[in-house]
Order: sequence, then structure tokens, then C-alpha cells
Amino acid sequence: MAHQDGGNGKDHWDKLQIILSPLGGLLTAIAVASLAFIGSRTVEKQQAAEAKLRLYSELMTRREESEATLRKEMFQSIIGSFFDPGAASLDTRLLKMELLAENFHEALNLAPLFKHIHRQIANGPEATRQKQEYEARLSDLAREVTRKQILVLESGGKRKDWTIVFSDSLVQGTASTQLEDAELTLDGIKRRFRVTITRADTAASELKVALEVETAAQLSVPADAVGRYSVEFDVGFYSTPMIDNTRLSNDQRVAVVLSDLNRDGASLSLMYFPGSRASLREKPYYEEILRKLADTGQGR
Amino acid sequence: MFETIATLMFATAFGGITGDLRLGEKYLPEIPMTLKCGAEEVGGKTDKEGSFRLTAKAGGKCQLSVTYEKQTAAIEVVLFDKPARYRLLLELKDGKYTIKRA
Repeated sequence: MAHQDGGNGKDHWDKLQIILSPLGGLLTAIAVASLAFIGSRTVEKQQAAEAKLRLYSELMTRREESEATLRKEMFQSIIGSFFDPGAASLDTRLLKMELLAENFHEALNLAPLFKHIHRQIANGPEATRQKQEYEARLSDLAREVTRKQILVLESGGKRKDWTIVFSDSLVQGTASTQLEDAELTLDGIKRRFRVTITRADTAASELKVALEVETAAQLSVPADAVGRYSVEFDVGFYSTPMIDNTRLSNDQRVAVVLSDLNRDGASLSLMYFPGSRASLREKPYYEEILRKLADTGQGR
Repeated sequence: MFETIATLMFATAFGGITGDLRLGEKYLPEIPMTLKCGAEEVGGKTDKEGSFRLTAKAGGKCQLSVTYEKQTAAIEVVLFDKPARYRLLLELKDGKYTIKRA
């Protein structure tokens, strides 16, 4: 009863309550208004970002569509001319081959066409010197395509180079040469690659290769993918790594590339790369897509 | 950037090799190199970035030697009509340096 205020009978607390009651209401109103404002700003920002994303994807889709149409027309025009019976000269066909290879090497297996032109050069009526020039042009084109593909694959994968010095027995096919093993790790998956050259055909510029891939038991490798796997194939200048490759588990690929070859030896490379870098015609298996989606979900 | 410091160039060169030299992850600058193709010997050095370019008149099978810490390591190479890229790796094993392609 100590602090009675005059005759009103109200203490300080009562006065404070009288003052603060409307203030509290005002503060609540301000808080609600602020929340509404912040909320609407956030929604606006989100909508603006979504609109930008939509516009970007629309522009990208339209660009892809127009590019696809242009490429389709270009492809039909060039490829059609290869099967035209009244075909143009070898020089013109080579030019078309160059256009095709430079523009479509990531999507098409051009090896059959390369071999076809190679046969046409060999069987053509041209003089030997002219034939050599055409052959060099074709071979340079194939190596240029391979070089471009190696650059793309190397940026996302691993590479190992070897020099092979030919012996008479290797050229005759009576002995083989085993190259130093390559142990490479890509996306946390370690594999051992063993390349054995069983024959060097210097006339055809081709090597007969045996490739052994060993995958040890690892956390991210399915149990059925663990073990050794071997494959034999020919590799020449027309074998391009994006197309001519071996599919491995976990949507990975391995390719053996012939960079150079002469009568004394060859330069060979092994490319170990993710399937996303392979040719456009290559699709990952459904179970691999599902596993990747599951991995992404776990990573969150 | 990857300018060659010492290259012996011939007007009618057959071919050559280009590339870089490293020990582990470290590129090795100013390392003497010799390319021996038959009777022909071409000397050079890696540049300050560890890159090199050696060109020889003769082609085919050659030997490339690298002198590092008073030791010489060698590797067989093949010269083609166009320069080939060699990413070389020096490795120390039992106190001895060996060289191989990366």
C-alpha cells in the first residue's frame, strides 16, 4: 500500500499498463505487417528467380531446337550425297567427310564412312601421289577428331599414355607386348587397366589390343561389378574414344586411343571417363540413373 | 607461357616431341634433356614451367635422357611426322631415378 497516487487509487504499474496496452497492440500490428511485407518480398523474389530460370530454359530450348533443325538439314544433305550414285569427285567427297566429321563426331560412329572413303581412295583411278595426299588428308582428319575428343574426355576423366616400340615379332604377330599397368581413380572408383598389344599392323595403321580391367571391392561399386573383365579389339586412327569405348560399372567408360603410328612404333593412350562425356547416342542404363538419383538424395 | 628455352631447330625437321616433366605434382624447370636418334643428338632444357620441345631431323626410334640431381634417366620414344606430346614423370625408386610417360 506504499505508493498510492493521489486520490485516483492507481499505482505506477496501473499507469504503465494503461500506456503499454495500446502500444502492445501497435507493436503486434507492426510485427504482423512486417512479417507480411517480408513474406511477400520473399515470394516476389522467388517468383522473379523462377521467371528468370523459365526464360533461360525457354531460350536454351529454342536455341537447341533451331540448332538441331540446322544440324538435321546439314546432316541429311551431306549424308545423302554419299549414297548418290552420280557422286562427285573424291576431292568433294573428302570435303563432305571433313564437314561431317567436324560437325557430328560426337554423335555418330564415323568409322564405317572413314573406311569407305579409304577404300575409294585405294581403288580410285587417281595417280599414286594424289592418292597419298588424299590418304594423308583422311588420316589427319581422323586424328584431329580424336584429338578434340581426347581434350573433352581428359577434362572430366583420367588419361595414361604409352609409347610402343615395335619389334619384328610384334609386327608379325608372333609375340605380344604388355604395357605398364595403369591404376586410375575416377569419382572415387579405383581400377587397374592392363593393355597388351598382340599385333601391330603398320600397313593398315592398326593395333590388336587386349584390355583387362580389374575393379576391386569398393564402397560405391556394386558387388556384381567387382572383379576382372577383359576385351579384345582393333584400334586404328578411325576409332574415336567417345564412340569406341568399353562400358564399365557406375556409368563409366574406358577407351584406348591410337594417337600416332609409323613403322617404328606407336603412341597409345587410355582414357577413363564418366559416361556423361561419352557420345550423345550413348545412354546410361535405367538402374544407373536410379542409383545416381538415390546417391544425390543421400548426399542432401 | 610455355615458351621453349632451348630447342635445336632444323629447317627440314622430321618430327619431334613436346610435353612437360614433373616429379610427383611438381613441374621441373631448367632440366637438361637430350634426344638421341641414331647418330643425331639434340640437346635442350625444360623451360621455367617445366615444358619442353625437342625436334630432330631423324625420325623413328629415339632415346630421351633427362639429367636430374646428377643422375640420368632415359626413356625410349618414337618420333612421328607430327610432334607427339609426352607428359613425363620422374620417379625415385631405391635411390635411382626412372622416367615414364604419365
